[in-house]
Amino acid sequence: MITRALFLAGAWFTFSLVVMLLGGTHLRRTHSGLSLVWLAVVLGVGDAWALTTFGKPQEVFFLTGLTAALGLVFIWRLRDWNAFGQMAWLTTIIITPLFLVYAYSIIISAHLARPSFLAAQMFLFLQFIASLVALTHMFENIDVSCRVHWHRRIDRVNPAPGFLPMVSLHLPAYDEPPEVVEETLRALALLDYPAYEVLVVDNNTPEEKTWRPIEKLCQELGPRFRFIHLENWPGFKSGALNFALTQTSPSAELIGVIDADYQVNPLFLQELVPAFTDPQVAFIQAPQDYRDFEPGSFSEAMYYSYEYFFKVPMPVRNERNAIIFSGTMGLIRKSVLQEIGGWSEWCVTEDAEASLRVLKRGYKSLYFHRSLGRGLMPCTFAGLKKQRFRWCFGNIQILRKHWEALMPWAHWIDPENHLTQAQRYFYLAGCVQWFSDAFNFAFVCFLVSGGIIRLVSSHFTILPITGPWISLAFIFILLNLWRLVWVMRNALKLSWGLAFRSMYSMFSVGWVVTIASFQALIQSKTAFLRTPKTTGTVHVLNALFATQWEAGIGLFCLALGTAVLALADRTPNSIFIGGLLLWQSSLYLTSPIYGLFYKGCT
Amino acid sequence: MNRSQKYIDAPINPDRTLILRYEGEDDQSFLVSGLNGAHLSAPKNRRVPKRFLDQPSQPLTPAFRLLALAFLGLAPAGLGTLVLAPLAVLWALAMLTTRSLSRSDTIRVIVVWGIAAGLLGIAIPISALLMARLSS
Repeated sequence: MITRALFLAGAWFTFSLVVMLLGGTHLRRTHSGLSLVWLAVVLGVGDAWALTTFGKPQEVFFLTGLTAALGLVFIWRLRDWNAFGQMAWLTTIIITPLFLVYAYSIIISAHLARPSFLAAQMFLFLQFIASLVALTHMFENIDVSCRVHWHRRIDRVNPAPGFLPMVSLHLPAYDEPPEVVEETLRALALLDYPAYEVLVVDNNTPEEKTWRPIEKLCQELGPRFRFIHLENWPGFKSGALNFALTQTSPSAELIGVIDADYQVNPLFLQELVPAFTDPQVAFIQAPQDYRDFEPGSFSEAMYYSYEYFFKVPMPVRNERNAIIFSGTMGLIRKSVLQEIGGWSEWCVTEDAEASLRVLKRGYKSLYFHRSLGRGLMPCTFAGLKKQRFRWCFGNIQILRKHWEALMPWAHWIDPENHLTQAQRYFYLAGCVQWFSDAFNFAFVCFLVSGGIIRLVSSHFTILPITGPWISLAFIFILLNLWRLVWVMRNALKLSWGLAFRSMYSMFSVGWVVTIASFQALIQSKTAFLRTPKTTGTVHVLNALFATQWEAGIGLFCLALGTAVLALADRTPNSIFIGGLLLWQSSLYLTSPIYGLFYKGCT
Repeated sequence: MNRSQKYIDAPINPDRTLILRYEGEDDQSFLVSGLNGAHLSAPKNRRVPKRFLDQPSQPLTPAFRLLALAFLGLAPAGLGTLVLAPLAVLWALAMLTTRSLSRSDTIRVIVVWGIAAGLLGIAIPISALLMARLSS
């Protein structure tokens, strides 16, 4: 029975998802009647196929009735989505538990050896967790692509004539190249806003010759610019920013953080400041953007993988007042920053952490959709890995520290916690999503074990892989990849080729994220890994050395996958495992390729 | 003499350039030294950050850790959960009976019991199936 239910749900899922991928972004209207018709069509197509082939009428009608009832709830709850998005999400929600139940049922019914039985259960548990994480990604993707009505989307804040609060812009710098900081400061000097100051806080830069030119430039640029050099200062970037807060002009009402490599648009403050006319708005964030990529290059693909966050999860979170403050290109109300106690020095993503504490106090956040400044991407792939390590580590630090504030019972324990259900969900999902690469690595471990077993003995197996299992897993992988490329094409306006390359550039940092997520679970603190922004080229050997683990895992998967396909028995089981090993090798080998070609090597 | 007493409790002169060395800090001020050797204190002018929910002193923290492990214990056919979830329940019970708990901690006890019951509800059938398999 469960197999037939799975096939029926699989038909609904495949049909509705394919239609969404083909036309989901073109349907720009919502109507409950239209949604009901589309619900009937999706269910009708699947039922017709089932009833004429494998289905038993009673089972088909029961599952259809259940799905239709849930569909009505979805149509009501997701009324800002178009019909294609609603049905794709509905069928995904139906098929995911069915698939897990089916997988469990075949483990139970197969005649497995005892160790295999236990290993299969562990694999299923991994699938369960991975499915939950995949659902969070899918929800974001559908929301950003199939949402017709945006309630909090702003590309322009309504001007507020006469509202010109003093803004203090803090520019933390540690061992930054003076020429890069100079460009940043000169851009800040051109800001078209009457009341602002710039505090350059240089913390712990070891060489005086590095920071003296910046000090001199601050003196040249006039009284708005002040330079502070701090020695032996603790707390990394947060420590510097916390000290800057003590030196901020008493008349300043807003604080802005600008990274040392960011060239801001002269209208940066004019555009964002009016948002603070609403006293409940605590911070506003504009997208982070970059200026140093060559069209057609690997760095261009990486650029779009950065942009993904500001074009997909951020707008989705903004609809629920659940964005993060990502530091540079954002403004925060000084009184609120003082109220929460400043920046947390224990956290390496202090900006995102602060935003959670701000929202917890019941304030509003806003995401501004237009880019108002551009910085530099890390100059080497090793630097990019360091940056990704810090982001992952910091988010898991946040999860470890604040997990209870994100739980459903948080309000009962702490009445001062004003986080809404959506805010708790998005902060939790945003942190948990960093474990995706660790889950993938665990999946690789299972695949490798399975591959070795296939080579050694064809009678022993870890998981009883059946025809439906293989076909559904194949459909899942294919449709998920298509969905990711689809959302990148639509949200970032990319060609197929560039969307595909950008997707692979995301995979290229998978190993460092895996390491960071494991490390963050057992270690509560880490050094703040500064992202190097100096220009220059990297030696080929250094580039390869920086990605030795990824290359090793990728080559091992490649060799094992090839061996399984060539030497193991020709069963679907072996072909499936061999194919998946080759697919995984392509993910890990992306890393050395990016290491070599990201911004060029010598 | 208190260490912070040698620091001048006055705002740092808002000169165009400040070169300061970190000496220490307390909840209210940064304690710094300037180029001329002067010891200064810079008021932080911000609220002292409240320690967050998961303070180390929380009596229920070990119970939640056991629950997290009990969740992972579902992986080997629920066997880990069968061991760890009851331990979490017992820890919470011990806290409830031996200490005078705050309202928040009492709610935490109930939450621990609720989650443990949910996990056991999943673990018992799947581990029973495992046992049936092992004994066949």
